[in-house]
Amino acid sequence: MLACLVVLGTDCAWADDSLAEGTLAKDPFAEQVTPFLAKYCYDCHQGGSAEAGVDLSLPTTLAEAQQQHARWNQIRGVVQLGAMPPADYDPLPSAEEKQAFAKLLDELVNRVDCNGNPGPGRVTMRRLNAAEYDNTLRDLLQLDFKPSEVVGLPSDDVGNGFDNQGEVLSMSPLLMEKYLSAAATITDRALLAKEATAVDVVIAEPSSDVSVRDAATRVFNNFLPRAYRRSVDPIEVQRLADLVVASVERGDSYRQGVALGVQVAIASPYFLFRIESPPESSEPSPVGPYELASRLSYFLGATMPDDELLANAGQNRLGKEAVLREEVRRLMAKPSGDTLVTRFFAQWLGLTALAELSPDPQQFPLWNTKLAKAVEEETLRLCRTVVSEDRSLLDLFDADFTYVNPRLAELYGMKYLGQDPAEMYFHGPGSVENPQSRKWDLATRGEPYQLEDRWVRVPASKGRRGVMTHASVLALTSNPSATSPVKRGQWVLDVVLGDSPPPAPPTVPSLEETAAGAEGKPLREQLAIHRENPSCAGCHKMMDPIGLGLENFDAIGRWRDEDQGQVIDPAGELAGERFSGPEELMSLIRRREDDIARNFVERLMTYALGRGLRPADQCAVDEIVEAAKPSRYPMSALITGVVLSDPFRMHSQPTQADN
Amino acid sequence: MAKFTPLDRRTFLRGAGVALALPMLEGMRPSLATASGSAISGVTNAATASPVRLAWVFFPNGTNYKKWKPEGEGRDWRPSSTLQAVQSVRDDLLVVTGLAHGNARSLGDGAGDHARSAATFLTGAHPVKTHGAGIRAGVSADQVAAEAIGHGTRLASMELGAEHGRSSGQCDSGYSCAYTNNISWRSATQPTAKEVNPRLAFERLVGGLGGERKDANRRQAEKRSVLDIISDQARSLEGRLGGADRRKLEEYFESVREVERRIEHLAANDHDTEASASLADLQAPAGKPESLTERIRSMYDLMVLAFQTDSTRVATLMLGNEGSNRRFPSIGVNDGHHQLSHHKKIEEKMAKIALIDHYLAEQFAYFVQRLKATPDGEGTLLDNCAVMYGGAISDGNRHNHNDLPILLAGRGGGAFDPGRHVKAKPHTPLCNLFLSMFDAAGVPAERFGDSTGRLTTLGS
Repeated sequence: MLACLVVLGTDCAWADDSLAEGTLAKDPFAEQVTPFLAKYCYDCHQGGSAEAGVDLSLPTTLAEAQQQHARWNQIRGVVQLGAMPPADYDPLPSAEEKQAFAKLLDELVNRVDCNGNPGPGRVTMRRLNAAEYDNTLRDLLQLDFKPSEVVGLPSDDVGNGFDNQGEVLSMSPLLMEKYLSAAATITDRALLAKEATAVDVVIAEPSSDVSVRDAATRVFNNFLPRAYRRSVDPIEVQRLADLVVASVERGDSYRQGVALGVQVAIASPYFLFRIESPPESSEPSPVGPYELASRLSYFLGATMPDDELLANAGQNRLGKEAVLREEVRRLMAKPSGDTLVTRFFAQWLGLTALAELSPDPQQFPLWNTKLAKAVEEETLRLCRTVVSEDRSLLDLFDADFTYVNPRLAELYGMKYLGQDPAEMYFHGPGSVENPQSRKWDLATRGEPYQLEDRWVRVPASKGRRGVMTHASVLALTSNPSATSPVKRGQWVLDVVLGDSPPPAPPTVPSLEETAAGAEGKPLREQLAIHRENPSCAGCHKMMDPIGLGLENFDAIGRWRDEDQGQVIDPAGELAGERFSGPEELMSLIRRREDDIARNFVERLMTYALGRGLRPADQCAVDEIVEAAKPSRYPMSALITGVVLSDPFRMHSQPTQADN
Repeated sequence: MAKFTPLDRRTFLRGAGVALALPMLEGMRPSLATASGSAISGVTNAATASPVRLAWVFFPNGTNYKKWKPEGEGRDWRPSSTLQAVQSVRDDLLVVTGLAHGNARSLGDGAGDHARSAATFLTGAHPVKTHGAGIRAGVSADQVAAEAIGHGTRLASMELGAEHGRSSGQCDSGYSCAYTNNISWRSATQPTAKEVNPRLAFERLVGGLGGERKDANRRQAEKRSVLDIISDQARSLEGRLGGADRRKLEEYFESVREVERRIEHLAANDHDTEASASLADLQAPAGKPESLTERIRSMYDLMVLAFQTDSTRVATLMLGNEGSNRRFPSIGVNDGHHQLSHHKKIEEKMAKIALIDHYLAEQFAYFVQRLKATPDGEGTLLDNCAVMYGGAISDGNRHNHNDLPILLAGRGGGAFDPGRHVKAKPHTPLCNLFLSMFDAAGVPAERFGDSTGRLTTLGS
């Protein structure tokens, strides 16, 4: 630090007032946090040979700690939950000391001055992911097939829980090859085939009065702004018109020439990426109108802006809040608005993993791809209802109704519209336990396929309230051959309450080490032994009792009263409050409405922005949550809130605190 | 398991690894048979005038290491129960023990050994713990090799997988799924997507060689004009963007250039046509194989085909994503792999892990046999290959990154003396083995990852 002062002179001193004093002592972090660290942590966590490579002894300023907020939050969690310092350390901080330390660290590290200028941040340019690519081409060229499936685009990598994050979506030669071959296939089918779908692309043909160049210019004047989602420069159109002319001179037809131009457009970086011009300063400024139109359209439809939205952008009307609100309403009502359900909700709740789930077929012969599809559909239908009926977000977690088709009714042990579902699929009584033994009813052979689409809204069955008691989530949070109370508890904390326990520090012993000799005992007892170990207790005291409350549901979500001959005790605890079974658990969860809403808005914003949230974004999140609270968090308020927020509408150059 | 029944050539990739050796197609070795205009680097085996090919095969979740570790040393090694699976090719591979990936350890980053296992496996780097922003590992060994010896072939490298990348949620304790889904990294910030569909991988290989021959010239000309314009666009954009955007654009630009290079290569090697015509007769493998065995063997078959036709000299295969919870019903394992790997020292679970280890090693033996059965110049393809098989977790229960399970098949053009168990000093960096593989193939590198030198005990 001193060396810096010497070399850089006053510039450096200005950067941090505390340094002007020539000492760290005045820094709030050094003054208040460091003493605790020195007393309880340095013994093991100091210097090159620090335990687990965690050296806490380096002088740290508040600014530095805020920059490394993830690291310090982990340290906070580990201390708060009692995993550190280890129980055999002497002296040990008292419980009060630990809580005070955690509170202080939280205030210091996560503190953002919302009255100051938190800054809207900056999004890394996003490549269209496979779904966005398909949807955009569908709307641009009226495709009736999914190009990503035809050329087999590799799966997009996931970051921050979603597959639309700019930093994580990368490009590779394999992908480029696929984009190029997709472009050729697409233009063949959409423009050159007999039943060409893209009827509104070739809007001009050469004739005795119209040269090839003029016709092509007209075509691309019309097409390029839609493909690039912005106004275009005449030079850009010119270049493609040149291409058409050259192509025709080579002996191609005019249409083939235009098709080649379209290939360029849909392999272009302007098409494949959502490019925003960089902000000019660290002062917040609105993103450009076309950029905002794309943000809005990809958020609410996972596709390109439609003509109306582009027109609004062209007339610079999106800066008006009323216009923006109306656009949200309009876009949500379009069929593409359902992508919020099929893409955002599905990824948030983890439903996309259902396709790969494979429960042990010996124990769960009922599970197959159709059932996997059905359990996913149930949850999507509830999400869709909450969105389209503009219900409260909280309904997701304690709805007293749900949706079933006959297959799902069978899983839940319910009648389907008064009928025994097994009899609808199969001739005779059959056996749910052993479906293979059942015989198809030959007379209604075609029926089973139609049955998959027959969904009805029904009152939730015994013990079930909301998505946490849907077979989808219950199966997702199980292992292939057994339930996992730990995973279920963690799911509630992480996905619903946004209160994810910090990852276990490396020194925490595993379940088998603490529960050695307890094999064969009921899971509840094994977990209890694990929690007796102080380093495990902090987190598992939070997770396990939640999951134990859901033990009445087996690994594919069926109700059960016993597990391996023992009656299940579904009592448990959520953050210190006791409950007697799943229904009470759900109502306790619903009472945590502020946490649920805050977590939901954070996830929604991460999806909308395509980047992880920074501490500064908490200001916007808080604002949205506060505004929606009096009306009990209706979905429209949360969605519109995200769209109207600064991080969504504005950008600025990243400041140091953003990193 | 593997039988080599001579079948009609058309049946090449049909079914679960039932495949035959292609007739040797000399025309497929353009870069060696003729001056193709581009200088060929890399080592060619003097006796056979064949280039050395490198491949890496990764499996997730560690092993039941006690059942993996062989006894004895040198030529007299006695296979453990797991390595019984490679007994049929024991003279063709080295079992190397004692190697480690120190950078896959937590080093203060807490949980996430699975993410680090995959991310470190070929990079030797310690990945940055992040959900999304600022993902960074290192350039992987295969990409270093591709950079050095890949430009003489149509594909600089080939990345395959036998499991779809996970597409939602958190993959491992605060690490982006990009880490668990990829082993190949083109740059420290750019993982290289893998092809998991055998049919598409096949078409990419064969199609590029001649699938679209009939109007290939027109197609190529078209492609070139498309590429010209989009690379101009990327160039003009470059000056206007900053920071992370520019990095993304650079990825785009590099990818465009790589495709251009492939097209030029194709144009410069007209005599491909004849060979390609015979390849075009091959039957593609299924896009969605019915069994895991078929899927894995199809991918191995494709690697053999790619090497045999000198379409690439560098390949990777991810048998599963790190942390994969796939079941193995064909060997009676109906629990998830990852769930089992946390076996808590319960006998039954450890036995199942050993079964999985054995099964995967058996598939690898199939690959080695196929390489061995494929003529290459005067010898066999296996003579001119160095194929590493392994993972970056030793015991799935402990998540330790030393004592890694590693096999090295092939003679590497004469650099390696297989048929032995080589014990490296404990905690020797796995990267040292990469350097030895680089040497065998003529990839110049002084150091890689956390390497401390070469593994000198692999040759005769």
